Amino acid sequence: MSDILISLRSVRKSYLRGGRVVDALKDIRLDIGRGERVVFIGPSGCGKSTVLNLIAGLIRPTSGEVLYGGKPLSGVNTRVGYMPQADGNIPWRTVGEDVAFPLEIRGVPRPRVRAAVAEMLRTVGLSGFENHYPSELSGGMRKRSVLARTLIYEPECLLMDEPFGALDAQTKLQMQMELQNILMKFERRTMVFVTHDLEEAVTLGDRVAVFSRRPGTIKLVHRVDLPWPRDVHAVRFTPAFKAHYDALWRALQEEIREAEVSLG
Amino acid sequence: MSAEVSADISNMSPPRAAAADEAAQVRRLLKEERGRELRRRLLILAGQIALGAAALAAWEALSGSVLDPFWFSAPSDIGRTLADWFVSGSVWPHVRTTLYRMLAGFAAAAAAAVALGLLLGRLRVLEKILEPYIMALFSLPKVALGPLFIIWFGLGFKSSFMMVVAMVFFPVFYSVLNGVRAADAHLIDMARIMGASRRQLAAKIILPAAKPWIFAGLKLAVPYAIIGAVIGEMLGANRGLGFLVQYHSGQFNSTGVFAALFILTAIALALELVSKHGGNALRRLLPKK
Repeated sequence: MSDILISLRSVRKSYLRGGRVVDALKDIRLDIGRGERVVFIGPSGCGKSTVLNLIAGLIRPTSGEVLYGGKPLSGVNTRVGYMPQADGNIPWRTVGEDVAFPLEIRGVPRPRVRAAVAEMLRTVGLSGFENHYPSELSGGMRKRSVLARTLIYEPECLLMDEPFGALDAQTKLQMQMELQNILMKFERRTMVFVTHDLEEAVTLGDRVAVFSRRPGTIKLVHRVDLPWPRDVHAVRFTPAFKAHYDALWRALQEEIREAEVSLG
Repeated sequence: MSAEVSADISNMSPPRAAAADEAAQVRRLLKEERGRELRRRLLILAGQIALGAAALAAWEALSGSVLDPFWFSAPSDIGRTLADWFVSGSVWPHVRTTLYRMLAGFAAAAAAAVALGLLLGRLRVLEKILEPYIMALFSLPKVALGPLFIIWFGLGFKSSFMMVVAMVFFPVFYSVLNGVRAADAHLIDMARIMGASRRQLAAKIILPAAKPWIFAGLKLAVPYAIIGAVIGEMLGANRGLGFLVQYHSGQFNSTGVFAALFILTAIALALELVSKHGGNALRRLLPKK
């Protein structure tokens, strides 16, 4: 792991709530290699999404350092692509215009934008929907269009914040499969993927980081050494998958149970 | 049953015949539905006309018996006065003057309000500094500014124009400000991550997000423009429909007052229609981005 893209060094993020210090994240240490796929999993409210926002440069750590490409982040990180939990479509743009947005911002000439958009829509299976507005699409199709927009400017690192969380089980599997296929095309693309779905974590990660309940710390980093590409459906019935699942489940369950006890 | 028989006669295969039959039936149902909708609309229109006619007839009948025509006039007298005004053409300068003040004031105030709303929506500190002062001006009854406008700008165009500006500015400004604030924070973050500059963010995310709010504010402000023009003209002008109301009221000529009010009502209704349909047309004309 000589080629480290993201380095979280004793990162802490705290807030003041009514004069009291509330820690969202505490002592997060993690190195993420270039081309690696890391999944964050943990009980809700444990700060996994906060880590994504730190890597995106949308917020700053209270203490500690977030290094990206070896340098501390200052301001918004424009070398990443961010796929949010909510839809994220630009509602007044058609799918074609929405996907073209990042290229438009970069001043790419129109004919090239048009070609790139057509190609990208083909990749995510949205050909023929260029002129539809997001409100006319299903949830899965809206996700595809945001995924296309995130990929079209070829960011070196994808930050995915529970992107498929709101989808039904079948659509979710479909999207996981397509995400994998797309990542195969964009080689050495780093990905940090946040989820609360353990199967999704094992299916998509090279490594899975289990977060503790608030204040969030990384309690376990588990390597998933299943070979790529993984068949998102079949892989779930292999003994190796089950072993990874169980190991992670045990770690996660303690956190969930303790979270419930501390709540009660 | 009869459908199948007729299908056999026309030598169509039964499924196709059934499909054709079903399509015909659906078409008939849709036609009936449209007929019902049309009849409903006609009923509403007839009711509206009947109500207006009944009110005018009652007014006409009561005038001279229960209502003193000196105070309440009568629709027939008002109609004659309106006819005189329009036939002689004496009313046109007043109509033109009021419309001109209204539209000029509306345009100036709207432009200023949109620009300032967009600016302050982005510069939160400046907005906070100005907030109590803008709020104070907003809360101030604008009529009370009338005498001041007359001292500053004299009788006529400028003081009425300023009254329109004072009335129109605030509803538009607050709509735009709310629109800018309502722009989805996630979309803004995403655009920044994609590398959007401040200018691109404003032009491609914030302005389009605020657009429905801007249009809503403009539409809301149309009646305010009329109020502003009329108040301005009533307080200090020698022309315009507001002046006509004031003038005839000073003469105890209730017929003249009502005639001027009818014209104002007609203008208000016409502008309401224009802002309703014109707004949509304008929205279609403007580029999406």
